[in-house]
Amino acid sequence: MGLTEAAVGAGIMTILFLLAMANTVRPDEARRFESVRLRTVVGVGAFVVVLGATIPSLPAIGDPTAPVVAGEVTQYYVANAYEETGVKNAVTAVLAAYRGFDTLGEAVVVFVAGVAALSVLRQEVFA
Amino acid sequence: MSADDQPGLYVESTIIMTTVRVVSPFVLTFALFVMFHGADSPGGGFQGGVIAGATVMMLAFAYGIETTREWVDVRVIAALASGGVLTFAAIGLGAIALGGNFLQYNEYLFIYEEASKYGIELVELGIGAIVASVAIGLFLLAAGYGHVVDGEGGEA
Amino acid sequence: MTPLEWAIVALAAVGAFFGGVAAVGIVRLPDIYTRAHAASKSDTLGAVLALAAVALAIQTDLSTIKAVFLLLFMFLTNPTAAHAIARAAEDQGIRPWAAENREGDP
Repeated sequence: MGLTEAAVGAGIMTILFLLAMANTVRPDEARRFESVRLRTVVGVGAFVVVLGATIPSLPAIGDPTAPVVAGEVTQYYVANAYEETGVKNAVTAVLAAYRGFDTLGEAVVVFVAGVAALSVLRQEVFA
Repeated sequence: MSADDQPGLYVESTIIMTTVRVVSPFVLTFALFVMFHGADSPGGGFQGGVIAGATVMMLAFAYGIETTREWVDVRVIAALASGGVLTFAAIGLGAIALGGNFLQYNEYLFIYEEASKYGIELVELGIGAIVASVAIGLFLLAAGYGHVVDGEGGEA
Repeated sequence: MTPLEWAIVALAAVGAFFGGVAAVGIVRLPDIYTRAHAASKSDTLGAVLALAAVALAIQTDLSTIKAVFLLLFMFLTNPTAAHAIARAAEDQGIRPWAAENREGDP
């Protein structure tokens, strides 16, 4: 999974952000906060606070008794992934077999992101 | 695709073009390796797809975005993106049609005995096709947005 | 320690030294061109030496070949990236840092 972060985060996102910066205008100092709505700020702030409130209940990093390590489901994957799927990489086995429906959703999200960008920019085709 | 003998095109430095010419086959091979080998080593469709998409971006940096835009076939990108989704969905729903659950690979055992492994490989390949084509498409879309609007003379 | 271990330690130490030199150069040098110079030469040498140490330390394994490939590609791509950045900066009209335009372009 680290490979994904490296490839997407360092490779693609930099280029897309730079292109977005090149193709959009920057508002001047006086108008910078004009389009920020108070309702949005409150909503997003509340979301951040709620998510932040869950941080203290997370297990310590590397804790061997954390539910995600010691949990029944993880143990089942580790014990049975190879026999049941014939795939040596347990991550792939979980992604493409045990939780395949979730992965289909992820793949469709990527597809929809492309289609949405097309429709927002009012283009018929890529390129 | 010869950028240098067409006048009026963006001309990048020889150093960058040569390096990209040397490196890009290796990058594309590595992308396919990551995609195909995701079942047995770290990797998979998302990662391989992004690396494959990055190959085209590298070409665009070396040879100019407009040259790359002319070289890339729009139909191939659309076909890859929708073909990936259809492959994934067909494998998943096919198992239901054969009487199992979604993506229950052992329904395909009558085709091949290692159905599970190769089914997963196919699914990863479908994901890779989606990710690569959407990455290339978004790149060309973002890079060409101002250009297209200017060319049409319309409002943004 | 065997000679091989000495070689590994020496390569890693020299690689770390050049990496440190590159980091100091990127922080301390005045403009984009001199920084690209630090990032391309010194950093490439540091990374290549460190990867050579890795390749020696793994010895006979498939991973050695991967480390050697990494080394080769680092040698190819890192200076090219710095070249591309410097070229783009020149294309944008950024003037190099020099004694006469020090006030104009801080």
